[in-house]
Amino acid sequence: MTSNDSNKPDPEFGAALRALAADDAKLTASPNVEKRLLAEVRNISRMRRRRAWFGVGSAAAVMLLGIALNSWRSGIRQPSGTALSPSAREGRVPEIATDFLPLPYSHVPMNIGSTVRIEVPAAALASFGLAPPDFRKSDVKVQADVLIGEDGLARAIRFVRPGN
Amino acid sequence: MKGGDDAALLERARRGDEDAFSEFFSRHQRAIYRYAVYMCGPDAADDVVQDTFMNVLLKSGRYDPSKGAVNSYLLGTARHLMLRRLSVSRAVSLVEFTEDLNVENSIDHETPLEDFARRQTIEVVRAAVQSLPPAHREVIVLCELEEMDYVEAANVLQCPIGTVRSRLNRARTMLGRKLGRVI
Repeated sequence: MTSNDSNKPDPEFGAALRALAADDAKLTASPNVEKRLLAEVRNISRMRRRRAWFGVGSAAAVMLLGIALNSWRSGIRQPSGTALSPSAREGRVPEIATDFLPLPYSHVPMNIGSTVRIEVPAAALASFGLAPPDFRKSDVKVQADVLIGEDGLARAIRFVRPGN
Repeated sequence: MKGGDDAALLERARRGDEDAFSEFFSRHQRAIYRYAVYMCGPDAADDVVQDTFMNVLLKSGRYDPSKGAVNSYLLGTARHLMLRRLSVSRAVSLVEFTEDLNVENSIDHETPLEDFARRQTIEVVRAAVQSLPPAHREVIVLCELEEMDYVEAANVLQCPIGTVRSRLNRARTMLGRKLGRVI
């Protein structure tokens, strides 16, 4: 007892208990216990790192989604069949666009479509026969409008470049 | 200061800091191990230590420094886990930890002294402590062997300070009678 004890045991009794406590001081848990617990701590650390990366990844995904949605909203329009892109219609930098070229789901019927402006590798031009085959090795990106149905399937694509 | 260090170490360990955990473990494992040895025997003591530290590592936010020192928190957790373990194995009724049952019987039992007459006094004292009813044994372990004061022991046992005081007095009396012929 360290304090507030008005009824201390007699000295011999106390001495016997102190001797027992001193003898017990050597008692210790098996080293395996600490090993197992340290493994758990390592696991906690690993999980925290994973969660941290997941958090960063989620934030990045949300940010990219925001950017994509923003560009999607600004790019929404009905397919017009005209070669003028929205920015050209709005009087900004004039653009030249190809016709819409069918994609694998072009045969699926749709009622409403919208276009999304994306950037694709220039090699995509080659795959549609719009550029020589050696264009496939190019790192250049080109802009394209993708026609998407209400079901989310891409029906067609057209390539766009600045008119000047 | 040490209490503050302990709390900081525990938080770092909970965040996966191995060095902090090792330091925290080395500071406290012996007290928990000793307590577990007295209360449920050496075979289960390692498991109690492991379960206790695992519990405090995984249950973040449960330690409140205003309610007592880390060692009280750890011993309280160990006690809770140990009672659960004992109740599952039905080795000991939980009532034995809270009520003074069979006190006279345990005093009148054949004391360990005859069996251990030629052994060192210390072994006799240990045997006498281990022969106490659980509720009295644990106040002896906490207050006499671990040198906790009444407040800390009451924190561990989750009971009023007056209960600790009365149990300790009773436990001393019982021990004194058991050891009267030795010391």
